[in-house]
Amino acid sequence: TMASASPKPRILLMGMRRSGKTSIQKVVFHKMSPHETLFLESTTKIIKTDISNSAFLQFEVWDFPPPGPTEFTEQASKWASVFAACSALVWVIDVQDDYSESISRLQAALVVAAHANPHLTAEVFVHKSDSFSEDQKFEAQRDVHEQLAQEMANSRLNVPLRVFLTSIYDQSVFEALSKVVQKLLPQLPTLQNLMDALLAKCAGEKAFLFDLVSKLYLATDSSPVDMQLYELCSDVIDVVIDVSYIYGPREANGSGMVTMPASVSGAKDAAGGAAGAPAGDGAEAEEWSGMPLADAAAQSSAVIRLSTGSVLHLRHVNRYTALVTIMSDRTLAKQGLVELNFQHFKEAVRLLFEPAQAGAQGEMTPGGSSAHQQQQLGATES
Amino acid sequence: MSLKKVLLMGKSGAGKTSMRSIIFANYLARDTMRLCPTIDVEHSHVRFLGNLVLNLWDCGGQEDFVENYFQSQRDHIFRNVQVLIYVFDIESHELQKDMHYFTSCLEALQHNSSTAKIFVMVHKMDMLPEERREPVFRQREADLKKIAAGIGKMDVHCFQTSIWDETLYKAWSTMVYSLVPNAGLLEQHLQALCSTICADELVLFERATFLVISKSILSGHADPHRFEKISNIIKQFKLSCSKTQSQFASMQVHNAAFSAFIEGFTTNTYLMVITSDPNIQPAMTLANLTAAQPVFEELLQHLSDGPGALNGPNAAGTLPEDSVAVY
Repeated sequence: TMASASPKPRILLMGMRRSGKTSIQKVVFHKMSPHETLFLESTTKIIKTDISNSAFLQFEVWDFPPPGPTEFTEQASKWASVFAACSALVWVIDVQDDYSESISRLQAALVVAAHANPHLTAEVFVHKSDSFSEDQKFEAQRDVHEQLAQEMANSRLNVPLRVFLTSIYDQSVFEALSKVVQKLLPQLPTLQNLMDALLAKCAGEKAFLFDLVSKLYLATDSSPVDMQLYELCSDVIDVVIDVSYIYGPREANGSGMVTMPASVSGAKDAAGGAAGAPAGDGAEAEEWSGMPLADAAAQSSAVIRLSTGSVLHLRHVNRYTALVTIMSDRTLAKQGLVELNFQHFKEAVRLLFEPAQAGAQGEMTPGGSSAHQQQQLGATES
Repeated sequence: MSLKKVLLMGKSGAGKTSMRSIIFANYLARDTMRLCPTIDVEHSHVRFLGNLVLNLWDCGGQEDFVENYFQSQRDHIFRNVQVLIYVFDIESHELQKDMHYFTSCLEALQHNSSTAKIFVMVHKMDMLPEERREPVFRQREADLKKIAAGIGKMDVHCFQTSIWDETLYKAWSTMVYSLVPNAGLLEQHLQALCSTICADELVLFERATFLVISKSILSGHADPHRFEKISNIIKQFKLSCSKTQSQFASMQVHNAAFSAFIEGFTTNTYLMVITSDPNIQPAMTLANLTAAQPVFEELLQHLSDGPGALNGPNAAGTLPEDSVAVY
C-alpha cells in the first residue's frame, strides 16, 4: 500500500560481478552518461537509493554486491528476511559472458525467496544486449528463459518471472524498469482506464505518464507499446527539458548550480552503504543532476507537430510527472476541449492518489472519483 | 547559384569525415564510429539556403595523399578556395608534424587563394578533463595564430570542438555564416521582425542542418552557448522523429517564464521565436510569422544577387502592415 505509515516498496538489484547492476542504477536514477559507467568501481556494500521525486510513486532500490557461491544456503535466514520485505527482485545477467553460473545463482536465490515471499516476481534483465543483432537478442532471451525454466522445474519452483532484454546504451533498460516499477503501483489499472478514456475522447493513439527525473513511465494506455513510439515520447521529454533549461526560470546560487526546493526529496544515497563516492566531493553534486533539469521544466507544456499529421503533447500532471500523448492534428481544431480533457485527467489522477498521500482510509474510492472524471471528459470528435 | 569551395583538411583520423557526416548527412555521433579513412579527396555538393552550394573537398589525411596535395595536386586543390577548415586532433602525439602540415596548407592557400577564410577546429576536446580544456585550447590557438601571422594570414578563427556536444554546431554555424552573402542585411530584417512582434530573440536556422545563419537579440538570455545548443537539441530530435517514419514539422514549448516557437519559415529555413511577455498570444506570433514569410523568402532568394539589388528594411522589404503585434 502507499499509506505514509508503511515502508516504501523495495526493489532489489542483484546479479554476478560486473553484470551491470550499479551502472543501471546510476544511468536511470542518477543521470549518469552510459560512457561514464565504465569507470564505476565494484560494489562492495549495499547501495540504497531512495526515489521520492514523484508524488505518485515512491520506492527504494537496493543494489547488492555480487553473491558468493554458497550465499543463499549459508545465509538463508538473512536472505529470507531480505526477500520477505521486498516487492521486486531484479536479477541482471551479462549476456556477453557465460551466464550459466548466474542462472544457477539466481535459482538458489529463488529457492529462498519463494518460501519467504510468495508474492515475489523475479525480473530477469538479459543485459548488455546492445551489441547483439535482433536475431541474437531473441535467441539470448529465449535461451535464458529456457535455462531458467529448466532450473525451476528441477527445484519444483513456481516463481513467476519476466525476462527483459536490456542495455544502458538505449531505451531498453528504461522500458524494463518502467514495467518493474509499474507493478508497485496499485492504482495502475485505474490509471490505465483513465488514459484509455482520455485517448478515446481526444482521438489519441497513445499516452505515457512519465516521471521526469528518471524518465521511467508509470503507466500507459492499454494499446500495445510500439518501441519506436515510446522512444520518441521519451525524447520529447528530453527536448522539452533541455529547451526549458536554457530559457526557463533558474533559481541559481553563486556557483551556478540550481538549489533544491526544500519540499522535494530527490534521489540520494541513504546511510545504508558507500555510495561509490564519499560525501562532500564532486560526486555528491552529481547525484542531483536530474533535478535541476526537471525543475526548469516544471509546468512546461509542449506541442510538437509531425509531418504525418500526428501531434505530440506534453502536459504536466504534477511537478515531476508529465503526460505525453500522441494525437491526430484533427483535434487541434478543438483545442479548448482537448485542454479541458487534460485538466479533468489531471484532476482524476490527483484524486486517485490523494487518499494515499493524506493517509486517510476509505474516504474516497479511487474507482469512484475517476469514474466521475471520466464522465466529464468531453468528446472532441462527434 | 553561388558555388563555394570549402577545403576540409587535417591528419588522418582527426575527425573531418565524422564532422561533415553529422552536420550534412544526418549521422548521429555514435554512427561515425563506422566510418573508414577517407581515400584521397571526397567531393560532395551540399545545397545550402537554396542558392548557395557548398563544394566540400574532404581531403583524406593519410600520409601518401597529403604529400600529393602539396606536390602534383597543389594548384588543383588550393585554387579558388573560399574557406579552409583545418582539423587538429587534440590527442595527436605528432604535434610538430601537424603544425608542419598546417603551415604547408597556409602557404599553399596564400599562394593560390589569398582571400580564403581560415577556420581551425581543435577537435576531440571531450577527451580532455573539463578543467584542462580552456587553457589547452588557448595555448594551441596562440601557437596557430603565430604561425598564420608569419605567413601573413591574420584572419584565422579557432574553435574547440567535439562531436559529443554543441561545440560542433557553433564552429560549423560560424563557418557557414561567413559564406552567406549580405548577412548583415539579413540581420537587419530579422531585427525589424523581432521588434515588431515583440520577441526576446529570433534565430534563423538552415532547414536541413539546423545551423544558425542569423539571429536577432532584443532581450538576452543567460547562456551565451544557447544557439548551438538548440541546433544540437533540435537536430537530434529531428533524427529521432525520422526513425518513426515521420518528419519533425514544428514545436512550441510554453512555461510561465517563456514561450518558444520553432516553426518552418522559408523554403530553406526554420525560425525560432522566444517571447517572455505573457500577454502575447501564440496565435498572434504565428500569424505574424506567416505574414513575414514572403518577405524573407524573397530576401533569401536574392541574397547572392549582390548588394545593389537589395534595399534596406524600409524599402521593398518592408513587413506588411498587418503584422504588428496587437495586445
